[in-house]
Amino acid sequence: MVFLTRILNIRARGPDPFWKRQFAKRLTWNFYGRRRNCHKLSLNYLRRALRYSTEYRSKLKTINMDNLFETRIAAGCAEHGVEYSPFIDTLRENNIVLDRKVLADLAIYEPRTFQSLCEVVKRSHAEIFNNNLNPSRRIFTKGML
Amino acid sequence: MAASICRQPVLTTCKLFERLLPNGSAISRLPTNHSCRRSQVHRTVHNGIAPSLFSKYQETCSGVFGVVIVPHRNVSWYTDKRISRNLGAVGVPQVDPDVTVLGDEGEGQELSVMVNTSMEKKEHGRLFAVVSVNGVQRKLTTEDVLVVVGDFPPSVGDRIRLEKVLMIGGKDFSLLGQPLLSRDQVRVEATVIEKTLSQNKVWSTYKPRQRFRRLKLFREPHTMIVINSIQLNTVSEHTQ
Repeated sequence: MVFLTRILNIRARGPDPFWKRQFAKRLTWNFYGRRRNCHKLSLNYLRRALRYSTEYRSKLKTINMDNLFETRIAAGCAEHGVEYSPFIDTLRENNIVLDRKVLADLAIYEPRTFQSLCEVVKRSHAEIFNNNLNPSRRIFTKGML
Repeated sequence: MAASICRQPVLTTCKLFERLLPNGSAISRLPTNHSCRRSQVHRTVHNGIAPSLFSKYQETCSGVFGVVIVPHRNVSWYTDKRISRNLGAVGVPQVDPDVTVLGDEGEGQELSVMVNTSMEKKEHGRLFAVVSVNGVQRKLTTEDVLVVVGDFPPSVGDRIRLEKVLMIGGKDFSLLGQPLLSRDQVRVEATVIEKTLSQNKVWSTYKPRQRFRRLKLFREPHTMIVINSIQLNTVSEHTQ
């Protein structure tokens, strides 16, 4: 007797999960302990690791590197007595568009170039002050007449 | 003008501006006989910084040093607070008011002559340049190998010239472009030596309780270029 309906009772399963686990192993090979080899244990850690690696590239790396560069530039400026934000903005005013990564490099490896940049900033400020805020150009008192 | 005459009225204006500044736009109404670019500094007083913080800033700084400090647009006040003030740098120190202005022709000529003589005597040492390659600025010198990340059309073996040179520096001088140095003056040449891909990178996202998961592996194109030479021609006497 042939049981024709028997075949209908077999549940259709998807592809072999082995390959999915192999793929997960490619990402969890450097984890610690049993979460490296046991697939089920590694799932939550893997998900978190993926989230971290994606987020770090897009957000955190930018923030960290910006902080680092700003710290380095500010420390380099402080050697010449210049505050960070006037420094960076006066450079932009003068159409010098070196970005903060390069400025941080210059602050470390090219101190004399950085000094001349600070000098540009100081003189530019003096020039602006002289042109716009110097009272001798705009305030006339009775004694002067 | 003598320095001693100039110093004294400066302080009086500071007191004037202390009264003017909390109103915000007071300073922008002051007539400026200079170009718009210059006056921009003083127009954007309150944009980047909170008013309460600004007034505090004004009190602490102008009270002690007697200098008007105008915070600028895109102020990163946190870096100022965290680093600069702790290291004792507040504002921009005053230089002697008799100092020559930037872009002064006489001084420009002197400097260009100095640069030219040092180039003739070959005392410039190893030149370095800051070049914008594929939208990323890099400080480089000869024999450097750069990795250019992303799409970069030149193929292997091509000899290319990097044209966006922002600055060039030697032992005793550095030339800053505003923003670029001219093509006639500087010549940075490079050769493409390799085109590869980066390591595998993972991009994944998921939404909890939504059955939404995406995971992609990708590799970015990398191009290695080696810098052959950085040449600086004689500086014309009209550059700053």
